[in-house]
Amino acid sequence: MSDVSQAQVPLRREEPLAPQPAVLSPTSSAARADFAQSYRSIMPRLVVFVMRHGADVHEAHEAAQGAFALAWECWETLEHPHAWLRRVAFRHLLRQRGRREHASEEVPDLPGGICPADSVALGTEEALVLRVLGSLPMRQRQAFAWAFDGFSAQETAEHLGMAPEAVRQNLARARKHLKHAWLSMKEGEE
Amino acid sequence: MSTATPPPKDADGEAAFDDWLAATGSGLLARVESATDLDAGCAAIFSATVAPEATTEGHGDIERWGHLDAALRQALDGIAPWLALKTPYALPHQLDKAAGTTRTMTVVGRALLPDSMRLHWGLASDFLDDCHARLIRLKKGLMQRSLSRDEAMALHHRVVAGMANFRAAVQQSVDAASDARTRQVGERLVATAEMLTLLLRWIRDSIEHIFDDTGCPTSVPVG
Repeated sequence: MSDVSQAQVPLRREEPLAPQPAVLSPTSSAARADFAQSYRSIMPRLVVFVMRHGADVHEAHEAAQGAFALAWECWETLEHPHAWLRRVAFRHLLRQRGRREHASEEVPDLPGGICPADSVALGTEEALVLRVLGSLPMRQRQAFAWAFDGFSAQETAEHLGMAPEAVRQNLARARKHLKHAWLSMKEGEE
Repeated sequence: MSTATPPPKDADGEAAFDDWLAATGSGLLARVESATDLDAGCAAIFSATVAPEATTEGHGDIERWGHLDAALRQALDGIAPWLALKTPYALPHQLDKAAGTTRTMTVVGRALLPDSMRLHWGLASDFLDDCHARLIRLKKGLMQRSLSRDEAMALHHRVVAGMANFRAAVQQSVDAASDARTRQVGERLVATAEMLTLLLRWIRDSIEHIFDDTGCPTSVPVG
């Protein structure tokens, strides 16, 4: 899990981490209702998505909450909120990890102000999957996490700034490691 | 977008492996869902964008006019983030917002409307004061779980009725006003009252949300 902060992830110039200050919140009631509905449906999946990158549940909640706080400020302009939230949540995770490397600095308050997550007691097999993913190179984790959430290799490649073939290769390697762990677990059970 | 992308199935157990991955994914999602307070998280984002209102009666006619006019405008704009939410976590904020707005309207109306409207305004501000007091009672009663559903809804209904009376009283005086500044203040007060009425609809939904079938409120977080 230690290489999260060192991951080489291209940051797209057209999509700054800080949104445009002119738009502070959705202007219509319909947009706010849509945001609230989307928060409820996407937030848990976004947390799990970040966890598949090697984050624990609280880090993942913090990253996902931060992404939604930014999304709130530009919700009406987002064309692909599912992908946007995933990209931004991942960057939040990287920033969190980078910030915590400097232990002497105070951690500033994050947008949202609270972590709404209780502790999550993982099942053995869920913990195994996350443990294996956490031991993989970041590109493999990313390829797996995006594929698991239903994005094609082409879409993932566009969002991550990689070649589609590289996405497929990384996905195949991640699956190979996971399958090996699965088979070992089954052998152990037998 | 919640299942693993399945590669071609073969005899190497790929299908069983994918089933296992899907099952662990579903299990993890269910655990995270049950451990996450989505209402609290959403309300935190909404509340972060709400600027606190600052209404003080300043000195100097032009300065005071600008300051109070801006305060009323800010109060009106500040209602929007609390619409479209009906949760126990939003309710204290919604009630605070509604009560705070009635107080702002009272201060602005008292300070900016001319003496010639004192009679009309006296009537209108009585309605506002009633609304403010009932909103405070409503919040206190819900937080202390001392109100039944019927009592809470009755209080809410009286606030809605009081707001309608306020609007009618102000509108009548605005129609009769001759100077532009008075009309501007009156129209802004009416617009704020209309927005407040909209917020009251969402407050009613939030109140209904916190009562279960027994008519007893579930706990309302301190706002």
